[in-house]
Order: sequence, then C-alpha cells, then structure tokens
Amino acid sequence: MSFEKETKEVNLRTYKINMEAEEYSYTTGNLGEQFFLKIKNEGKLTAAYCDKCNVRFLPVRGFCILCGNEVKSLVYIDMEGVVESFTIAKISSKGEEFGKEKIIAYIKFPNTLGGLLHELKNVKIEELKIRMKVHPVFKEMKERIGSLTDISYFEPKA
Amino acid sequence: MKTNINFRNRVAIIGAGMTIFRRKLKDTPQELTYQATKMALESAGMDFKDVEACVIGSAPDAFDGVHMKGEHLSDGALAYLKPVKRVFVGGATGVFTAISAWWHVASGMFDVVVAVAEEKMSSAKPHPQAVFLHIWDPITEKPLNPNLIWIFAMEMHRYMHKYNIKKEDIALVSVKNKKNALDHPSASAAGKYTVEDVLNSEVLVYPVQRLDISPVTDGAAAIVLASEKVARRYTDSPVWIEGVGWNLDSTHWTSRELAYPLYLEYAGNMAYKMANIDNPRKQLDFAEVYDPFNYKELHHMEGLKLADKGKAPEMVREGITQRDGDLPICPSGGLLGVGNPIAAAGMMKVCELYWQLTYQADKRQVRIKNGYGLAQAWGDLMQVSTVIITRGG
Amino acid sequence: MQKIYQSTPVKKEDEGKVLEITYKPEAKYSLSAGQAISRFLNELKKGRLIGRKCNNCNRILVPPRVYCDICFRPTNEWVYVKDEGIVTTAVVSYITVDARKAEKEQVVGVIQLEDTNGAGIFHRINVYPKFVMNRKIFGKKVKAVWKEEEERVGDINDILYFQPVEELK
Repeated sequence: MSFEKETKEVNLRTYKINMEAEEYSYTTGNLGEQFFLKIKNEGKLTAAYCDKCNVRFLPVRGFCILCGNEVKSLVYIDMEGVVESFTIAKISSKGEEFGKEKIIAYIKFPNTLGGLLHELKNVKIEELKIRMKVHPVFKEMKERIGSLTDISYFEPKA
Repeated sequence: MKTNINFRNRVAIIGAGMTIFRRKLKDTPQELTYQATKMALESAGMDFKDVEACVIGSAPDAFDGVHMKGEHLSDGALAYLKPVKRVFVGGATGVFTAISAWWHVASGMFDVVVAVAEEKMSSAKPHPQAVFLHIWDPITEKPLNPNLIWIFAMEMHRYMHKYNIKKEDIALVSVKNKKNALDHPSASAAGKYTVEDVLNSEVLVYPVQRLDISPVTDGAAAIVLASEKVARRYTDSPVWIEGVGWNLDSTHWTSRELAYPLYLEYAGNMAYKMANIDNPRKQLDFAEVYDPFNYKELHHMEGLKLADKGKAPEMVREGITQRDGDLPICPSGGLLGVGNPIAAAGMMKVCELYWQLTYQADKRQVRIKNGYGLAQAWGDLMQVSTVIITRGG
Repeated sequence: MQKIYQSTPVKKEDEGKVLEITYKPEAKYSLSAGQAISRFLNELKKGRLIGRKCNNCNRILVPPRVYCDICFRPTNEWVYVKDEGIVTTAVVSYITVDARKAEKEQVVGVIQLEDTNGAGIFHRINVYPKFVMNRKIFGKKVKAVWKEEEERVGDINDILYFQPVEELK
C-alpha cells in the first residue's frame, strides 16, 4: 500500500505498560464464605446443597443451576476424593521451570457434582492413576487464612 | 416516517428485576446475576426452563477481575447449555444488552430471551478508577497519567463554556435525581440535597465535584423479552420495544466538538424513525437518559432532541424534568441516585421503562399519556450511545 | 410490584470482616507503536510535532495515523506542525489516577493545534487554576514548553506543558 512505500520509519518503537489494578479482592458470597471458614476453622470440606434437587455441588454458590432455585445451606462431604483427571506441569504460569514436576489434579467427591482443582503430592508419577483415591492435607491451624490454599495438597490414601 | 424494515416478531418486555445497588456487595458476580435473573423471571411468571437464549452485558473484565466475564456469569443467568452471548460497549452496555436481546427475538430465532447485566466494581484495588486508565490511548495519552474524571470534566467544561451554563443549574440535576431515588428500593445514593450541598462538595477535577458524580457500585439488573405470541400468554400488559438505535463516534476525542454528542443524535434518530416518533418532546411520556454525571443528563437531553442545544438547563430550572413535570427525566433516580454499576445501571433504566409503563413503579410512577418511554446509555471514550424506545400503558 | 431479593451489602466499617480472596495481577504488555506513532515519538525527541496529512479532507492528523478515520484512505504526507494552538477546554485536577488526593493540583486540557484543520492534543497546561475556573484560558493561544534536549526520550512527556503565549490577567 502507498503508505508503506513513503514512510519507512527505521526506528520503530514499542511501549511497555502495566495493565489493570494493583490488586483484586474478591468477595466469596454468603455460602462461599462459610465454605472457606469450614476449611479454616474445622479442616472440613463442604458442598452446597439444593434440597429441591437433593444434590450437592462444588464450587459452592448461592443458586442451583439444575432447578434455578436459591441455595442456602452447606453439607459436610466425605473428604476422600477421586482423581477425575490430572496433568503434570513443568513450568509455572509465568514460564519459569518448577525444577520438580507439579501434579495438578481435578478431584471429585462422593455424591457431589463438580469438584476441586488442587495439587497432588506424595505420589510417584508412574503410580499416578485416574480414579485413584486421594485426601486433603491441611496446613497448621495458625497458618490458615480461609482459602483453598489452606489445603497444602492432596495425597493418596495410605 | 416509520422505517421500512420487517421483523419476524414484535418483541415485548414481560418482566424485570434488579438487585440492590451498593458500594460493595458480599455476593459473588454469579450470585448477583442469578438474583437479578430470578427476579425478572418471577416478575414475568416464568421458569428459567422456558428461556431459550440469554444475552449478558458487562463492562471491562478488569472491574470484576474475571476474564471472559460473559462465560463466567452465564451460570448465574441460568443459561448453561443454552445459546449465550455477551455484549460490551463501555458504559452504553446496559441498554445495548437489551437491544441485542431484542434482535434475538425480532429475528424470529427465539421466543423467550433473558437479558442480564452485572457489574462488581468493588473488586479492583485501590480504586476502580485506576482500571479506567487503560481506556486512554496507551502511547500518546496514558503517559500523562490521566484520571477517568478528567475527560468528563473536560467535556463538562466545554459544554458550560460553549452555551454559558452555570454550575448551579447543572447541580439541580443531582438534587432532582437523588431525591427521586428516595422512592427506589434499590437506591444507594438517594437523599435530600440542596444546590449548595452539591456546590460545596469536594472538588475532584474542577468543574466536577463529589456530588456531580454517581457512586461506583455493585449490582445486577435483568429483563425478560418475549415474542408477541408468547407475551400474550403471560401478560395483558406487555411493554413493546418500538425502536432501537446505537452509534459510535471516532475514538480521537480531542479532534471532536465535545459540547454536543452528535453520535447520540444519530442513535436517537435511528430509534425515533423506527418507533415512528417525529416529536419526541411531545410524544415521550418520560425518558431515562444516562446520568453518570449530572451534566450528562443535560447533554443527553440535547442529543436526544428533548431540549434545544444549550437549553436543557432551562427545562430543569423550570421543573419540566421533575417526576410531575411535563417531561420527567430519570424518574427512577438514575445513576446519580440509585448507583452506577456500569452495565447494570443501563439495564436498570430499561427495567424502569417496564415498571413505569406497567404502572408498577409505586411512588416513582409518572403520568402515562402516549405510552412511550425512552432509555439511553453512553460510554467508551465519550463516543457511543445506545437508545431504546418502548410503548405500553 | 417490584420485589427485591436481599443481596448482602458490606458497609465501609465492616470492610475486612468478610472473607475475601485477594490476587495481584501482573499483566505486562509491550505495545508496538506502529509506523506513524513511532515517527511521532522520534520527532518529539527532537522537539518537533509532526502529523500526517490527508489530501482528501485536508486535515493534518496529530498524533499521526496511517489512515484517515473520516475518508478511510491512507494519509498522504508528513507535515511538521507548530507547537502552538488554542485551548478548547481545560480542567483542574485535585486527584491522582487512582482517585487519591493529589499533592498538587494540575491543569490539563485540549489544545487545538494551529493550521491542522482540527487536530486536538491532550496535555498539561501551565496556568493558574483561577484562569480555568473563570474560563479565561478558553480560546487563548498556548505554546509547548519542552524538556531540555538531553532529557528528552521520545515520549509525550517530552513536552512539559503548554503555556499561554500572552500573560493572562
């Protein structure tokens, strides 16, 4: 096109910028807050419970996508989960090498829709299996802040 | 002259709902979306299983702090495994969500569509205004560290200069809308204020002061749209969508005349023509024009030809725009009084059309003569407007 | 009648009492400036303003663009423009970019550059706030004041601000 012929700027410039806010602070909702406090204070996992559909689901939220009704309560769930799928990560989201591979698993729980994404430890890669049973290892009480990271990792049932 | 276009379906609004608007809500974005959707469905007397498709509106992802916000919110809209899309045209998103849902039904593709808009502005720290930095040109403007309010202050001052408008007259808009909002159950910034209160509030960017601006807010709002044959089954008082219009000006705002929103005139003309309205000042019973800042209400009245250029302040002074005046503007209380969760605020205005034209607006009710109401939103770099005209009563 | 579901408001004084999950985003970008803006920035370093002229509408676009947004055609030639213009709007800012109180107020506005047929540039204006508030600065001619040559890096901030050509009273 004519523009390119006339204007060959040799010294093309780039501009470095930082996008977005300094920090995000996400509220977790009424049920979400209870879910995280159960992890923090009791070391227990819960799921949202819809009494109309009689289903439990994760992650928790204040409504049921099956029947469209409001959901107001949590129920404790069996913390022995099942690996639904896993992946072996060698680099972080910033592209840095972990050094040691990280196993990230999607874990489902008995009679509960949905599940949780978490790290799996104390398992050899060659022993990794879909459908293997795992359970959470919680941080020390005083280190917990009310977050999914209060669970250090999941590991196979001994 | 009515536009010569054929639609497969006439489209009606048959339900509306919105959450409370507050500085910060504990509920998650999905939960807010759910609450608004559920209320709109209940108001229509419908189950979510009757809904065929969903249009979601939300402003920059950087507010909620969730990328692909449309997909994120869709569960809350009870839209999983349904045709869903998200629309985004800056501050004008709320009304555009309704427009987009309109053509879903008008085209004949769907009979029942939910349109829901959500915004959670409290997530971004230290202040959502910092997120707005990224709407400026990244190379030639952003290095000057502009605050969002600067552009609006520049537009407001240009408008004041060109038509010799006094701040006292502009302040009247804040007084009116905050008073109107006292009757709105969702309002977050309602109150009895005087012109002096507005003029004595903190100066942020002269000529913009604290009470000239709508507060940043969390919230969601939704409507249910249906084709004529379905609407008739659910209600005796459908609110028909008679006209839609939208228009976008150049992003090079420094080369435009800021005193008059030409793009809004074009968007308005498009909607008026479709709705067969040739004298909006007489034919409209009320208008919910976009009022994130008080001067914007005046600016938009002029762009929509509800006032002559530079003459909107006179109408406000004479009380014509009060709820009991000849042409009520923002009887809901608007963004200045109810709050400004960007996309949800525009949708709140469309909800108000439904409540007013079905006589459900309670203490906010205006007199309905011709049955026409208009809602409008505005955004991006002061360059886009969206307009919707409905008829009921 | 309009029925409202009760969402849960968090009052300002209750901030910190509800559980929130925080995250620090780190979205870094390197934007390519393109041919037109690159030349514009490189000329700023030399203390000059340059634009692109569209021979169809006779506008000079500053900052320059490779296309004319009105005529939708490639622009035709490079044209140096004077670093002078008329103030069309101006405001006084008392806040920072993230809505905190600024240490010092700052005047910014739009300057319509001379002989460009409508090109406006957004920048700081060095004038007392009272001349913004009484709008005396509107319509007045201002001229760019540049950084010292060795301090210029090829950035819009190489212009310190625009300054009235004649003293305002």
